[in-house]
Amino acid sequence: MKKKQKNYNLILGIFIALFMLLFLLAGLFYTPYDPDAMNGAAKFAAPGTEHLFGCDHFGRDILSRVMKGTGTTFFVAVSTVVLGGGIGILVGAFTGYFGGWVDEVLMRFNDVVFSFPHILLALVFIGVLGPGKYNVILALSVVFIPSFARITRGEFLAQKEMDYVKSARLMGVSHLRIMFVHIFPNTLPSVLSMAAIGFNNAVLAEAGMSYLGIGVQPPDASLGRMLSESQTYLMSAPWCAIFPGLCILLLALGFSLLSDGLLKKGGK
Amino acid sequence: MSLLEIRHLQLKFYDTQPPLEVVKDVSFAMKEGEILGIVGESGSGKTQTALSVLGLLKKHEEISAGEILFEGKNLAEFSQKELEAVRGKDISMIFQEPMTSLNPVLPVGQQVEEGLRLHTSYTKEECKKRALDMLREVELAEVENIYNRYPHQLSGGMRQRIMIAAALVTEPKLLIADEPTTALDVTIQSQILKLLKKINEKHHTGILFISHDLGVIRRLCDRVIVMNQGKIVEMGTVEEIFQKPQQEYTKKLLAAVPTRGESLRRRKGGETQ
Amino acid sequence: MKYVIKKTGTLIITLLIVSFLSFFAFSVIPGDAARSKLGTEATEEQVEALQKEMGLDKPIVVQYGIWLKNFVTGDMGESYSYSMPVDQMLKEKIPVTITITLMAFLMILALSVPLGIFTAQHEGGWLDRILMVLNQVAMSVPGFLLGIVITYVFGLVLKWFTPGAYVAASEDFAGFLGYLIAPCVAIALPRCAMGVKMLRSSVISQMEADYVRTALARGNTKNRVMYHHVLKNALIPVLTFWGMTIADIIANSMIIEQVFTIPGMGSLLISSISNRDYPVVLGIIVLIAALVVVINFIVDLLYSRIDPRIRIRE
Repeated sequence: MKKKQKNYNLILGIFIALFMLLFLLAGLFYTPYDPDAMNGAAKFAAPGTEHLFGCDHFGRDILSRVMKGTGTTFFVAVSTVVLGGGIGILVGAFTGYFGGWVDEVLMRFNDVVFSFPHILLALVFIGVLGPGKYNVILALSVVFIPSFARITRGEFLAQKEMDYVKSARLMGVSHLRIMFVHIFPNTLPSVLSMAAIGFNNAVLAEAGMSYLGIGVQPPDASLGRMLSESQTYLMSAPWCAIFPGLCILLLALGFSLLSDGLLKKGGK
Repeated sequence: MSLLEIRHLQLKFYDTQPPLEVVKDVSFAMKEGEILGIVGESGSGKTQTALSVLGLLKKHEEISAGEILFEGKNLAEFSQKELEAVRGKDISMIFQEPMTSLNPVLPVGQQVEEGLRLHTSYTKEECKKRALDMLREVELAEVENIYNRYPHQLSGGMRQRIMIAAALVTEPKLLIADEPTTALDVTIQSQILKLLKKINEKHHTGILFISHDLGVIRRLCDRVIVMNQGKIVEMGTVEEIFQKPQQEYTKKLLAAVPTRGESLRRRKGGETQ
Repeated sequence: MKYVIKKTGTLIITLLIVSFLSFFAFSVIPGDAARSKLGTEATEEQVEALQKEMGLDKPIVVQYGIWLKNFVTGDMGESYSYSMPVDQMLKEKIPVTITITLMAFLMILALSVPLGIFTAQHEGGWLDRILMVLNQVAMSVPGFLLGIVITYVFGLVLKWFTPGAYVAASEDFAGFLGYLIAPCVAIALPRCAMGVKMLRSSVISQMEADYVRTALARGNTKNRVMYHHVLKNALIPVLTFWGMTIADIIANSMIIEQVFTIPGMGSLLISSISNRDYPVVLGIIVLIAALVVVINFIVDLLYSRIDPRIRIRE
């Protein structure tokens, strides 16, 4: 079909993601106040010209804390996707390309792991490892390996039967080169979309665990923890919840739109 | 009065700018009990012409001009509801892929008798009895057993017989067959053609047979229409078209047909799994 | 029948693998259970004695065997923090979590099936577009955030319910169910949005199928085609999603219970993780894992009921 439909999901997704990226990058260099500085006088200050997003129960500036917290969330999510995605892609590429009994065993194992919700598995790992930012990254990375491996494996399985791979092989190109120079670029649409989904899930999982108090620990600012602290003052100071909540929502929405858009672009 | 008469039919696809004219001013008529073939390459508009008769065109495809007269009534002006009453009762249709054209999760028996359920007031038992008779008529064995089977359990040829049975169970006056033998291998193909011929003779059912395969058309049809790029190139009896083609296009088409047994298209009967 | 037996075999093997992995993780990684139980001031002899008592000197597989035997008979060990049998602690929590799961799941079904069909039938229409935008947003809201929003809007502002006023089922069953509505909505809404999206795209792709054209050519109305032909086919891929949804609800309820201060398994799990109370954590995890595996088993069986291509292999 020649019908040209604008990929609104992709455009909007990129827009929101970029906006959040700018927001947190700015936070690295400049925050209006020290995010951890307590100011008794500004306790529960409502949003206004002084404090754009208001202040929390310790009189800390919410805008500054949200900027830092978004940074933390972003850091955890990116690390997770890079670490878990990287390992998952490698596993998927090798098992998909070479097959054999290793592939069989790993995929059976994958099937079992895959049927468990991410957040639950992450909770198990946190249960074993204990709370903390780096443990969250580790736990989420391990949890994401199977989904990346599964997607990559499927792509490699399909691609390795293609004629261009066979002819490259006949020309004496090494397996590794075929895998990562010839095949890998073709798997990018699905892998990128998976990465966006993974990022999205990581944001939600990190926020959830930090909300429960078993994720990112103080003094790191975290959106989830801000939400959990704000709950006590929900009636008197709703802004304590609104802004961190909005940030989580925007991060998740941006990347879910992005993954949708990428999938559509990949023609699936 | 003709059974089906198409007058100055014009079809457009509206999903492109400007709209694409797929069928341009096509007119023909067929008598009761006649087997009329439409032959052409893919993209010639033959399938679209057939689909338009029953109003089965896709959303963006539309009849932009012309009349489709079935027993004198203009189907092109029929409402959705009126069309539904004609479909499967007076005019039935069978399609190319007997695998995908049957619902994979319903037993075939239910699909065969559905026409009766929709268009008659027979009881459940009567419907089943007639469906079983119909299955026997399309030369299937062990019909009681087949009745409860699912499409994936049957061979390509059997599936196409099921399709034919489902189409003819209501004894329609016209059967539109869109490449019904293309997905089948040659021996099955010829069995299906014989079956269609038999049904045509027994019930006097008119058949509008669409195919890209001149060999098949020659064996089955009384008259032939040659279509190319949305237009009728030539029309005539099978003898006229095959012995004395008038148009360049028809000659080229005939020249491209392999002589018998040389390299007939062989495809396994729709075994997709 | 053969299919059921084969699936049951897989079920048992999966259960064994999952429980062994969990057991292994919790007995190896956190360090010496005996030492952590006794604290830092314990002497070597004390530790060794307790290790023997707890069976920690035996090979891991033997330990697992003993644990499994106990677990199956309902003995899940003793909590470190409360010196109380784990099964005793879980007894009142399990029904709460199961009620939440069922309620949320029913909400998802009741909402996502009609909406999925509706949006598919009106693909591209204005109502479909609005719903799909709302859907995309709903999909991205984490349940606990939604829980907070619901608490604020419906609890604090509109006062439809009192946040934190949980009633035990034994005291007031209707009140118990009533209180669970808000948390269930918080869990259900994002998942429901995903369900709508899945069913919608499944129905849309099925409506393109050849058999739909056949059914229309037979004189079926569009509605009859939907309910007699398309829906059953469209539900096949969605079934897997529903299976995963139940597991997901359980996982999410762990968090939502915290938002609405519901004393279910989730609250216990989280506090046990914080207290490093491993027997409790292990018990809950294995229980939930078993539940997930069993649900997958049921989904597989349902699958074969609805899709003859799986049931009958020649």
